[in-house]
Amino acid sequence: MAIGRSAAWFSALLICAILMLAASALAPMGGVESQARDLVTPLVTAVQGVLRPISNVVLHAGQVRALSEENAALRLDLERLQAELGTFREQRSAVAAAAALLGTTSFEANELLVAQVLLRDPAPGQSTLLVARGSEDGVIEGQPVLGAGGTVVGIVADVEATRSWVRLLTHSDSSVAVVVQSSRVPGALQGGGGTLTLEFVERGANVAVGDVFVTSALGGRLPPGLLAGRVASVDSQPQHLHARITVEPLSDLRRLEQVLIVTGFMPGLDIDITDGLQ
Amino acid sequence: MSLPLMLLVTAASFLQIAALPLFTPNPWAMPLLPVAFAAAWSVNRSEDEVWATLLPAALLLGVVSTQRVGWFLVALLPVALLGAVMAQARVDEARGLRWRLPVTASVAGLGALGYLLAMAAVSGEFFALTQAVPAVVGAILCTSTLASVLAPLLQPRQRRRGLFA
Repeated sequence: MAIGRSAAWFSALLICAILMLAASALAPMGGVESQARDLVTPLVTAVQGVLRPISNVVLHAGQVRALSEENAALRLDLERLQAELGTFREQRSAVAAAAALLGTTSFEANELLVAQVLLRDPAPGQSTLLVARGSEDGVIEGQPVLGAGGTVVGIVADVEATRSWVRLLTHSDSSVAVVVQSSRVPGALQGGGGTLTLEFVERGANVAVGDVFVTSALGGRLPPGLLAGRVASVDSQPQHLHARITVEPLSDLRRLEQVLIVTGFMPGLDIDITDGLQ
Repeated sequence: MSLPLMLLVTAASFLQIAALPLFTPNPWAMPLLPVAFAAAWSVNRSEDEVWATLLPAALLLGVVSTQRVGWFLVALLPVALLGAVMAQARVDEARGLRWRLPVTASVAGLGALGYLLAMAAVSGEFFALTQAVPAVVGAILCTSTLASVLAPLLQPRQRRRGLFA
């Protein structure tokens, strides 16, 4: 009897799941899900506002000494950087003139949009964020998203009226053309499993631990020159065609609270390699 | 259908979305709260009541995800199925908590594994799953431990038997 009841429940829920999967492809269901998200998101944001300070304490407990040492090191860095800042200010005017001459563009304040991170995708392994800006704010699919320090953290993957899904660099579907800043060695920054690797870099190429790399204009999907990450390790085995390079992002992608969406960039040049084949 | 269970599993799903990402930065290493609650309830109370709670849990997880709601329901089915199967083996109630604790832990662990495998399959993340084995094992162990902690709390209270009862 109990076996029969369980079998009935299992069958009913399986059918329910299949119906929901079929229905979710229909346009009206997208609206229903969006409205449900409208109800849940403020609650999640409110709870996270309360819990975030607690999580900060919990995650950093036992690190007081390390944090103190880091603080002292940062103070030294700050003093050094302030000295360098004076030099750079002098150089800025010269660079601005050169940029105007070359026709390059840098992002102005009105080309950037601050967006609050509402929540992370709960599906395991999905490195996706929901942010509180959407098509009504001028966000379109494909625009780059920046984190702390202006480093690229992801790309807008899907846009709703008032919210957008951001695919982080660590997402397995994320692949970004980059070049190593110092040696201009090209590669592809590939996400997957919450980690980042630099692919298609020839073995023996001039890449070392600590090298910073920036986005490349190759493919027209991202503006060039955005800071993307730092080389964490290089494994160059003689039997491999390409070096195995792991990368650490310059922003902590797992603890983003606010991001900048580059609304001034229009990702239009999407090359379709099948065009010439037909 | 039990209202307390419905509230517990829904609250667990909400905490899964709102609280756990703050405390567990690696998404593969997160303990699965709805799975733990469902496993503990199905083994220690009633396996029948658990089935109905899967729907609101899946809805809550699904509306804030890029994955479809239906996949979450599919991913939550193994824990209820395992709970129902183990309930059939619950012949000797006198074995009590000593028997229920390992069973609860097993159902929660296998249910968590089923959930992660299902979600990895539908999101094309099987390779990522194999790369994150230590985190996945951690998530499964945490889920099992949490379910084991819940098991004694969910034990039905024994009524004192009267002389003629």
